[in-house]
Amino acid sequence: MEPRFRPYTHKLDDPWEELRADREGCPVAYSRHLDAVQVSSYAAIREVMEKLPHSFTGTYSTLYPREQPLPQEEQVFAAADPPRHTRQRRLFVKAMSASRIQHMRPFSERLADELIDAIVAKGDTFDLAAAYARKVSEGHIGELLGIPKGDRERFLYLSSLFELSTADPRSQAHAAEMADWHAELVETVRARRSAGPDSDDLITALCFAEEDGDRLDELEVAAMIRSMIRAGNSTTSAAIVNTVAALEHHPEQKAKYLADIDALTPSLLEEGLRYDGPALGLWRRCARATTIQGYELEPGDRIFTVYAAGNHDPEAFDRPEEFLIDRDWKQLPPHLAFGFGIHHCIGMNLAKLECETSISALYRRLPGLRLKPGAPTPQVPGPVFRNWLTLEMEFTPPALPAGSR
Amino acid sequence: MPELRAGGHRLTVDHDLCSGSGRCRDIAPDLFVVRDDRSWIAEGAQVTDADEDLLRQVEAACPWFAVSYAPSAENV
Ligand code: SF4
Repeated sequence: MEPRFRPYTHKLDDPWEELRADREGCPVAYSRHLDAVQVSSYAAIREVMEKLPHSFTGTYSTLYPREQPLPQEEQVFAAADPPRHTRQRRLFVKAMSASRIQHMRPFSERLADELIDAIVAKGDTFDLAAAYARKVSEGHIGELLGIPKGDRERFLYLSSLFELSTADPRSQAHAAEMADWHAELVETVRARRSAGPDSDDLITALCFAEEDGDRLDELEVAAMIRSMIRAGNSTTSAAIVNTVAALEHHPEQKAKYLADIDALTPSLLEEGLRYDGPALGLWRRCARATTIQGYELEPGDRIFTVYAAGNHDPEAFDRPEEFLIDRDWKQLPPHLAFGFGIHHCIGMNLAKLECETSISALYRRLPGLRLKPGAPTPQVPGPVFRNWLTLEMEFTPPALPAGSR
Repeated sequence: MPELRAGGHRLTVDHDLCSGSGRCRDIAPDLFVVRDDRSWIAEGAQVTDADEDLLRQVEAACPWFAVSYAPSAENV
């Protein structure tokens, strides 16, 4: 049986039925559309993750189906294999650990309030993606990296080019601008390194981070930052937008949330990531002969793991097609939105903080918040992401003041 | 910070780094529990020479490099 999933030409707003058919009929199967082995069940995706370090490589990029490995200096994070990956990750974890990211909480709450103030000042309708979610994500990354406020928009714009470019890997439309961006970043890294170790932004921390006397060179720092922005900017914004969209499409769940925002925010976030997380799927290559659920893979075989399909697998989650914001996540297997294993999303703690402060502030402060009837909600093209590019919303003024709890 | 010393073995979980991913518990369910988004050493857990391989695996698998393990030979 040939998979039905055809995200390049027939990407669906609601892919769940199609993904269910693939997961049940052919959980691990070659797809001509993807020119890759499509992996769709929770168990099969977990098996890939377990076997990642030994049997698969991310060096051909996890975001594009490349024919050649990425240049060495661009092999970072998901696109790096051990031991290179281990070294990079070691230098990065301290800055991205749960305890360190908690220091950003006051900033995070303030940013959400400022953005809501700006929305309220303009009227009673707004685009959740452009006026809020993207600015939340951009603001946190800017803060973490120490990018001056005035330059943050441009950073966001450049990162969005990259998201569009995953939809058509052959297109060179944005190559020149993306190359300029990289050159700029390398300059920024050089400037931070010569400014010395005293600033507590992440770029400086990476420039001076040492592990057994080992330091990252400037190209590697720039590539890591670029990769972090790529991996973290539009995805976190999508996590916010997708979760709000799901909540708005399930009025009884929304009513439940409004009745106890504090208690339900953590499980709402997990459910949002499970139900419609930002990663539809990722690319990898087989590096050493292996099997996934008995399906034989040879070195060089390309695979595409469809996280969205695994996250709706009834073997892992009861009533998987329902959006239930009070699931008991302590008793459930983890959803796949952050992956797991050695490549577990290193930005998870930051992403969770952003989603938590921004979504809870939104529903606390904007009475009668709802989708604007009839407004189109375009979905980002391509096989890698799930992201509603605009989500028009309205509310019933007056808004509640900043800091409302 | 959770720490277990037994028979010269030393096992720790660094709570400044741990982000609650639960890999340690998946690999060694008798030794780790995850509570409040952090990993803890299970109550009454015992570490013997026979656990060395398992704990090396956990140490290598923790995505936040939060688990450290020193077997008795390295620890005297
Ligand atoms: S594997 Fe590491 S990060 Fe995950 S729960 Fe265990 S100690 Fe914490």
